[in-house]
Formats: sequence, structure tokens, C-alpha cells
Amino acid sequence: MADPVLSIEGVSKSFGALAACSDVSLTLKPGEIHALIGPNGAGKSTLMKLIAGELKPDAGRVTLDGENIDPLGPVQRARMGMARTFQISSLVPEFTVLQNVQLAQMQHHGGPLSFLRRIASNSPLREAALNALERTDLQDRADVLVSEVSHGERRQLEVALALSRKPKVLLMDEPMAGMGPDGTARLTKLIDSLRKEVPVLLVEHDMDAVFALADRLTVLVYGRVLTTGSVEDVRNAKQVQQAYLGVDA
Amino acid sequence: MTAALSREATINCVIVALLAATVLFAVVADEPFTITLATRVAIFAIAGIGLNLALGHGGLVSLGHAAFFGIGGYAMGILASHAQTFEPLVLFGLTIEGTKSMPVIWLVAMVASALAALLIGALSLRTSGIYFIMITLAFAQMVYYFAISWPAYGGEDGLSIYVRNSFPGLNTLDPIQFFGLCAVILAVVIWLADRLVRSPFGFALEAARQNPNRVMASGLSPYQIRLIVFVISGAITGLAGALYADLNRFVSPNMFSWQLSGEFIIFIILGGTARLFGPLAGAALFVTLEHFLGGLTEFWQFWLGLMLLAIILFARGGLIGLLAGERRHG
Repeated sequence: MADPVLSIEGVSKSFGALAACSDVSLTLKPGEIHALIGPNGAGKSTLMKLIAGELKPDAGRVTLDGENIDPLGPVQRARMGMARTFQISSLVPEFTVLQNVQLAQMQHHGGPLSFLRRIASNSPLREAALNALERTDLQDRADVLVSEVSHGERRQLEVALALSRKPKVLLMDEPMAGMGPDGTARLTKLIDSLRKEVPVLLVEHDMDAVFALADRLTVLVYGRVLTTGSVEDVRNAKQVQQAYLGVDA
Repeated sequence: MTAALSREATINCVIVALLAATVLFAVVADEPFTITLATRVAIFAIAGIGLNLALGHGGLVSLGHAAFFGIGGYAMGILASHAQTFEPLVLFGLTIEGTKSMPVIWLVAMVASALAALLIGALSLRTSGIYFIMITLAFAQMVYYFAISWPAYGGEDGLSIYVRNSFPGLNTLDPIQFFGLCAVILAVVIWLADRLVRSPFGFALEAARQNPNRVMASGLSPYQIRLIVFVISGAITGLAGALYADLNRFVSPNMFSWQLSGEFIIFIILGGTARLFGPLAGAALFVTLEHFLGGLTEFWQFWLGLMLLAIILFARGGLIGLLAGERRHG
């Protein structure tokens, strides 16, 4: 079995008396889509923030590529190849779609510490950025301001930005949120095609999408891991049906 | 988009032409005081452009930029006073000769204010919004009170420099020559600010102003980007401070006053936030109002206040925004 790219071991985080995550462990292996599901308030978003470095865990450790990344903040983790899409689109509104991609790729193209050179708008960099947009069918919208594109296009751009960074790990926090059926279908197809490129940790409420995409599932309830396993295992697990799927056992 | 841009460029040319015409008129009519006013405009514009990089482009509302202006002023005052008395300055066991050479003074002023900006920025940038405004104000007030209570360089009374410092090949005591010098520096600063804003750094800075989370997700540190622009901003404002001290041949703790920090912000609001020539337009308007309205009524600041209110309510882009229309990125 291949070594996991990302592994979370015994991670806990409390906010006052509320234990948002207690002793959570999970792994993300190369080539897999690992879905994280659970009812509202189960601690999924907290766990994502702990992995991304936005929050510091009270206990436990997170390793990326075998390296302990606990001391690192979100910027350094992003630099190491951790990419994420946000639950609520987080883009630069007064930039064009293409400029958002250029920002995402800036770290790989010389970084921001260049003060007198004019930023390239017509160059190989533009090509690279356009290529990244093609994946999500946004190339025709490249020069439109983000504040003027639709919600669905913003969700697609979130994914394009994450992919354009050539990440080692992709954290997706409810990528389907607010998408219509067409958009959901398109995004499901796109995420499905990512598997070979980058392992994905997916938090999603749309169960059809989850069951279509996930290689493995982890069910989180009240901040604890209820079970981890294949889609079939989890579907059949009685306690999951009780706790989450709302089926009487 | 290009139409709006070239319109802004036209307005910028008009502003420069107006300033040049004023100075030309003053030379012909032999009114040195008008030249002094124009020099004030140029120097205030430099300070404003420095602040505009942090405030307009970085979204960092600093109410403490007088600290850097004053440090630049005192760099000039201290160096020139030692040259004046022929007493070397002893600092940490090092003996430093005073100097009357402007380029050396400018360099020292910029390095000193950049270091101060690094220190103040490193601490202040951990906060944001109203806290950032208050903490930058607090730092500037600290320096202000320090200057008042430091007797070695005049304390509350300030420090007079009898002869303006020298620049190779120029007679800096001639108002028009000193104005020319300041105008050239202003042009260089405008050019630098323009390059900076259009550079990859300016791009990242703009992104950090709009959405720091996205910048972080891109593996870039908003804190680092902001600290760098704060230091550049402080250094430019410090340079303006050294020039201002030379214009007046006098430095005093008033150069650190929070009113002055506020005036820098007013230049930007009047002229247009994040507009290249905004601070120049704002400073020109401010100095003109101060001179003419101030000659008519003691309460000129009341009218200035009304004007600011009108701009904030009806013309967020300031004078240049009003004339040139919406600004577009890219």
C-alpha cells in the first residue's frame, strides 16, 4: 500500500467547552478521493482549517509527504503544495478571472518580490494561466472581472486556481455549494478526473456526488470519527445509517 | 477602459502644467513666496505619494506617517546642526561628522525612516482596521513626545539651520533652484510609484488589500507584502520630511504631530485614493485653500471639512476620480 500523502493523527481541537474535533485520524493516499461527511456541526470545517493551518490543534499531528507540518502556518503549507477551495468563494473581486490565476501561480513564476519590472500580461505566463482555465471551461471568461461572473463560474474558478498551483494535496470544502444540477454534474466530472493528478480530501453535502466520487469515506459525528471505509462499507454500517443517513435500523 | 485611462493621463498633465505655470508666473512676477508655496506642494505631494502606496494601494490607513516625515526632518536637522557647530556626532562610540550635503542627508533620512517603518510596521501590521489606525497614531505620538523631551536638539523649540544644505552644482538658497530640485525628486518618486504599482509586487499588494485569504492560499504572505510596502512608504515620506526641513530651515516636534499625519490623509482623499497623481492634486488643493481661504477667514478649516465631507459622500475617487471617472484594474 502506498504511503499516505496526508495523514492526520489524533487531532483534537476545542473551543471552550465545545470539542469541535476529538482524536480525529485519517489518511489521504495517492490517487484517491477521500470524502469527509457528517451532519452539520460535526467538525468538518474545523478539521479542514486544522489541516490547512488556519487553526492550531490542541493535540495530534498533521503530516504532509511524511513531514510534520504542525509548526507551519497556512502560507507555508500552501507553499508546500497544499491547495484548497473555500466553502464560500474567496477570490480577488476586482481582478479579472485570468489575474486571479496569475496570482495563484505567482509563487511559481518569480514570486511577488519584483518591484520595478512590469507585470507580464502578454507572455508565456498568460498562456500558462489560460491553460489552467481551460480545465474548467473558463478560458472565454479570462478577461472578465470576477465581480461580474456568475456564482457557478466562481465555484469553477476556485477549482481552477487550486489546480493551477500544481498541488500535492487538494482540500475541497463543499465545492458544490449553491450549484445547480448542471453545475454539480460538470464539477463532479471534473473532480472525478483529478484523481490521478492529485489526491482530494472532499467535504461535501451532496450525497449523490459523494457516492459517485469517493474512494473512501470518513464519517464525522460530534467531532469524532464514526467510521472510515469504502462507500459500500459506510452505506451498510448501521451506526452511520442511524446517525447520519436518517434510516431507521 | 483606455479612454478613461488616457483621460486620467490628460488630467495629470493639466495638474503638472498648472503647477509649472504657477511657478513660471511667480518667477516672472518676482514673487518668491509663491515659489515657496509651490515647493511646499511638491514636498507634501512626495509625502502623500509615500503614504498613498500604503493607504491607497495597500489599504493600510496609517495615522502615523508624520513619524517618518519627522524622522526625515530630524535626520536633516541633526546632521546639519553638527556640521553647523563643527562638533561631530558620537553614536554608540562611533564618531560621525555632520554634513550639509543634501544627497547624504536624503540617504540618511530614508534609511532612518525605513528602519522606523520596519519596527512600527512589524508591530502594527499584526492588527488591522481601526486598531491599525490607533496603533500607528500611538507610535507617532510616542516619537512626538520623545522629540519634545529631548533637549539635545532643541526639545520643544526645535532646531534652526541657518543656511540651507547644499546640492552639487546648485544654489539651493535660490527659491526656484530649490523648487526645481524638489520637482525632480517628485517626478522620480511618481515614476517609482507607478512602476511599483504595476509590478508583480504591486499586483500582490492589490490582491492582499482585496482578499488576504486568497493571497495566503496562493502561498504568499500578506504580512510580508504589507510590511515591505510600509517600509517603502515610510522611506519616501521620510525623504519628504528632509526636504521640508530644508525648505523651512527649521525642524521641530510639530513635524511629528498627528495633525500632519491627518493632513497627509487629506491630500490623498482630496486628490483621489490610489491615484498616481492624487496626492499631488490633493496637496496643491490643500496648500491653495490654506493660503487663499486662510487669508480670508480664520475658519478656513471649516470649509475644508465641508469639502472633505462632500468628497467622501459624493466623489469617493477625489478630484481625479471626479474628473477621470471610475478606475479600472488591469
